[in-house]
Amino acid sequence: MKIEGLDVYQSKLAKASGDWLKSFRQKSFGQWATAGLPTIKDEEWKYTPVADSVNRSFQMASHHQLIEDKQFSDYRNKKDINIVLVNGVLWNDLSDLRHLPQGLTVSSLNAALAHNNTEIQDTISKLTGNDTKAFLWMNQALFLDGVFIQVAKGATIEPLVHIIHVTSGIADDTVLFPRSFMSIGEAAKVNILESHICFEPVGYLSNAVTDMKIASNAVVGYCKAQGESHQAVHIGTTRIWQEAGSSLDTFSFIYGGQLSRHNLSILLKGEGAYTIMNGLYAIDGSQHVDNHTLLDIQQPDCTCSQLYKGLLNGRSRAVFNGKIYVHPAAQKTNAYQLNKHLLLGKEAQVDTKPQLEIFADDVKCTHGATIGQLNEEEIFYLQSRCINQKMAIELLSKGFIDDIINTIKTEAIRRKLSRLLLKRFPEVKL
Amino acid sequence: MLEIKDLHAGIEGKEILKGIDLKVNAGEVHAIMGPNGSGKSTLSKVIAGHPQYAVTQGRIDYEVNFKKINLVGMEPDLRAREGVFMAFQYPVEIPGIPSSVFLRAAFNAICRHQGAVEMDPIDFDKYLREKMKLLSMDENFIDRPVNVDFSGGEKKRNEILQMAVLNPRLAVLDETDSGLDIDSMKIVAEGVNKLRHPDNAIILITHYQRLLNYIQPDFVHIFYDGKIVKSEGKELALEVESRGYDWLIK
Repeated sequence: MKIEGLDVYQSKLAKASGDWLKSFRQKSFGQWATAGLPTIKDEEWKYTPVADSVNRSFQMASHHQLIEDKQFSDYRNKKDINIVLVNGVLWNDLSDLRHLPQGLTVSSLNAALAHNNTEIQDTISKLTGNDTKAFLWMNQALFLDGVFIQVAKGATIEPLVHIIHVTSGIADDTVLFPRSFMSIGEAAKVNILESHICFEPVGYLSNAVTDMKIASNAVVGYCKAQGESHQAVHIGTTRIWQEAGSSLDTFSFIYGGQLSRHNLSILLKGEGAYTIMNGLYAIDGSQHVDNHTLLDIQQPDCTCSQLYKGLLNGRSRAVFNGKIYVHPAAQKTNAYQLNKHLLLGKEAQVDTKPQLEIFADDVKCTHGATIGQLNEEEIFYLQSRCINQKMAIELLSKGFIDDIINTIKTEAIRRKLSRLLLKRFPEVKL
Repeated sequence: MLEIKDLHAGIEGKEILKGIDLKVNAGEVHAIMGPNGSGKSTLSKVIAGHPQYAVTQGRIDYEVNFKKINLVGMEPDLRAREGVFMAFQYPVEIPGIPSSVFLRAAFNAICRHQGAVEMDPIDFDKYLREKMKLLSMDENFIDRPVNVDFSGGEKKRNEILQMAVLNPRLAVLDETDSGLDIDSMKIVAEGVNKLRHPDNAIILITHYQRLLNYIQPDFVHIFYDGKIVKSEGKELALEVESRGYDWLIK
């Protein structure tokens, strides 16, 4: 992978960065340059040939304006607090920043870093890299800007906070570095949806990083919805730090992109933290989706439950690797993992791997994985009740995914995802 | 309404029905009895159009609204929309689809087929609750996924509820009484009796005579080795009950 005009771009970035950021970028660049991109010889990338997919010359985005699109205006909901970033840059006039509820702060990430926000610096340096570290370093060296969100201690934010990363007006072979940082204060309550969308048929690489720090006793809902163009490569790194007694409900929804990888790692750094890590990938054609998750349980009395479901059409391919790491101190851990697939396409393929590493002796951990096809008896049953075969298949597929969508507690997120999924079920008019 | 002529059918190359002739008129109830493996259930699946069963010879002529169609080769959903209904011996569980959604999809498929206006969720809810009363079904049934975690009796009752909702012209009930306790059987039988009508016909497949105490058939047919070996009135069932099948086979 090459990036055109990298020197010029980097010196521009260096001029605009403060001391901390400048050395952070330099260090990250060095790490990326040394490591190079992972290949399929790397165990964590065995089934996802990412180096082949990005083995060409890329350019940086030079244009950060949204090409107006009805699909985009339909995508956002007026009731939400919409925060719009075009090609990685926060756009105030497209965002609802004027009347933010009390306790919610939103700014560009560069602005927050310029104010020497030590919490961001501190957290970023503590969050460890995971299997996407080459991409993480690349993002850290080259991200142009991003968004910073802070919820004050004790604040309850009622409306949904919707961060929309939209890719627009770029040429093929552009590389983008969306980045966000969220800080949720002690006992605060907030629901956040982070979307990555593009309505133009263009091929690009989106290398996105989201970091979140959740202070003790906060209650957070977080969903990432990846709806990139079907020519795009999306590599997402999401790192979450959870403190004592906090409660986190995450959902990873993937329906876009030609090839995508989502590395979600959650560090349970405090006692009695509660985590739900659910996800759904609904893919078609030759789409390739790889989910790598990590629950890193470092303290006692934590409860984690994970359910990822995949609906695969055509000759699409899914990879799942779910690691649960229980540290020696993490006694009384209760962890549950399940990964289920419905293969509709005859040539669809799944590689799934649970990976439990348990170093405490008083814990309860279970895991399982299933891969199935539609049952002929079920289809016949529906057909015998007047429902044609196409609709029967859609109803059964919808049934397969509805129960995971229904686990999302935030209604605004649940409704948005259901609406996005309806397009996949044209026969079902409910 | 239904005229089966010289029907041969089987599964995976094995012939199970070896020449069935059966005529059913509107308003009639026919009971089919016979030992295990005689082909009773196969007949119901062949009438409904199960994809695993192949018809190798014969026809199934079905007459509805003065038009006659041969069901052989028709898609199962098209047969259903023309008014053919089968109550399953083992109703299938459909996780994720609430019963009300499933039944409305089925009901509206018939409406579309007949060129009638489809029913909206609110009207359908009223219609469905009326039919549920007929079978003493629990209120929460509507939101539960189809047959999932239903008891055996609930599943069978649900089959008859579907029959009540879809109002078929020809209903084939495949061992609807099996696995039911006496109270559930009475509820199911009462439901079926309420759905008896001069314009529709019912074929009851059963192992036991006791169901026929509650649903009185006009004719009883005895199946053996893929053929009908005897057809008579309802008293034949009583005779089978006391004498078994041996005297019919020899």
